[in-house]
Amino acid sequence: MHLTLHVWRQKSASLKGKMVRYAADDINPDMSFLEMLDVVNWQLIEEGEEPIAFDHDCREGICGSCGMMINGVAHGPRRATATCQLHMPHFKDGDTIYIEPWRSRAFPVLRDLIGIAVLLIESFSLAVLSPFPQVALRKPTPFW
Amino acid sequence: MSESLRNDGRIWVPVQERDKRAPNQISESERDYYLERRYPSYGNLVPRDVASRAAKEVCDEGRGVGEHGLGVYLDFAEAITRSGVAMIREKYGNLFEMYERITAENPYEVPMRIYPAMHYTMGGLWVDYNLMSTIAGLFVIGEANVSDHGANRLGASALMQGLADGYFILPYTLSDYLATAKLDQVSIDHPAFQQRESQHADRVKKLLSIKGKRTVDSIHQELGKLMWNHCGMVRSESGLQHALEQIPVIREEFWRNVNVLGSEVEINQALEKAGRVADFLELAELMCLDALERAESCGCHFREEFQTPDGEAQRDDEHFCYVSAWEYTGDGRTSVLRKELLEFEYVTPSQRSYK
Repeated sequence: MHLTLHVWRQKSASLKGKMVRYAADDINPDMSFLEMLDVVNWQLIEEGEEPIAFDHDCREGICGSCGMMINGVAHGPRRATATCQLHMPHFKDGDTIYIEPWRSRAFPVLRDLIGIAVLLIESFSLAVLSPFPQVALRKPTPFW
Repeated sequence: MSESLRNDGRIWVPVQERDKRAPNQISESERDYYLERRYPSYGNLVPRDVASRAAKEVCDEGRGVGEHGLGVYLDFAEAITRSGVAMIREKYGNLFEMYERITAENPYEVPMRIYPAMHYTMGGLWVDYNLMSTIAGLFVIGEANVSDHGANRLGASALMQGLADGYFILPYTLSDYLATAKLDQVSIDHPAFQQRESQHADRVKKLLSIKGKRTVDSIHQELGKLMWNHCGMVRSESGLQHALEQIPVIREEFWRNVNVLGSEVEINQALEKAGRVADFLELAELMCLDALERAESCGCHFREEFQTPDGEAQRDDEHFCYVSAWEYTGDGRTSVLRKELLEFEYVTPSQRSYK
C-alpha cells in the first residue's frame, strides 16, 4: 500500500507544532496502524529525522496507553477499537490519513502524538473487572 | 484468546502440504484435526504449551495455512451448525469482533487463522513470601517477580498475579516493612545515589553518541528472532549454544552501530527503547543459559533432546526438581545458579498425558 500521511509534529510542550506530510510507501496491508507508523519511523531515522513519538505499550488492546486522532476521529474510523487494534485492511491503497494528538486542555501535547501520561493502573483495574478489556479503555484517567 | 475459543472451535490444517485452496474447498476427508487426532480425550482443549508446539509442528511440515504458511484454522462452522449463530455470537462475539478488526475477515463465515506468539516472559526477580527481593525494601510484584505466575513453567495468568500481589499481599507486607524497618535518613548526596546517577548519565550519553546505522528496532528484532528460533517453543542444546554465541555479537553491534537521534532533555522514545534493548540483551543471554542448563523438558520449556517416544515433554524430576535462581554478580560477569529444591509432601510430579 502507498499512503500519504499528515502528522502533527511538535518537539516539546513549549514549542509550536505543525502538520508534516510524509509518504508511507510499501506498507504491508496486514500490518496494524502502529506498525505502519513504525515503518515510517524507520525511514525517518534513516534520513536523520527524529521518529514520530506516539504512546503505546501492549499493542494487544489491553493496556489503554495508545490513542490518537485519526482523520479527526479518536482512535480512527472503527467503533470501539483502540488505535493498536486498528489494522491496515480497513484503509485503501492511496488513502490520505491525518494523524493528530488528543487536543484538550486536560491533555496538553508533550511531543508529537503524546499527550500527558495516563494512569495505566486505572484502566488496568477496570480491564480486570471487564471480561473484554477494550470496553474499559475508552476513558483514560489523568494521574492527578 | 484461543483458549476460550477452543471450547467450541475446531483446529485443523489440510492433510496435503502447501494446499492453497480456500478452506471451504477442502473436504472433511482432506482435513487433519490434528489435536483431536493426537489427543482424543482432551482434543482441542489441550493446554497452551501442547497446542502451541503441535501448531508449530504442522506448520514446520509445510501444512500451515495463509500467505506465509504460519497459521492453522480455528473453525466454528460445526459449532454454528450445532448451536446457531446467535449462541456463538453471545459467547464469543467480542473475540470474533477483535479478529475481524485485525484481519478484515468474517470469522462467522471463514475459519480464523491462528498461530502461537510470544507474549510475555515467564520467570522474574526472586522474591520471598512477602514479595521482597534480595534488596531490603525493594518489593517486586506482578509479572516482574517469580512467585506464582513466574515460577510456573506452564504459564499462568499475569492478571491473577498482579491482582493477588497487589490486593492481597502487598498491602500487608509492604506496610509491615515500612512500620517495622529502621530506615536511616538519606539524601541524594549519598554516594550510592551519586554513583548510580552518574552511571546512568554516562550510559545515556554513550547511547546518544554512537550515531551508527541501525535503528534500535532493527536490533531488537534481530535479537527477538534469534530468541524465537532458539529459545522459543522448541529448544535444543546446539540451538541454545548458537544463541549464546550470537547474543554477544548482537550486543557488540548494538553498542557500536545503533542510531539514537535527538537528545536526553526532551521526550525521546528511541532513547527509552535503546535502554530497554540494552537490558533485553542481558536478559536474553540469561534465559538461554537457563534453558541450556535445564536438560529436561518441563512445561513450556521443551528441549528437543528430551521427549517421550510419542513426542511429548520428557521430565526428569530426579535431576531437575528445583527452581533455578540466578544470582547477578555484576555487569559482564556470569550469573551464578542457586538451586531452590522443590519438595513435595502430598503429591508427586508426574508425566502429563492428554491422550
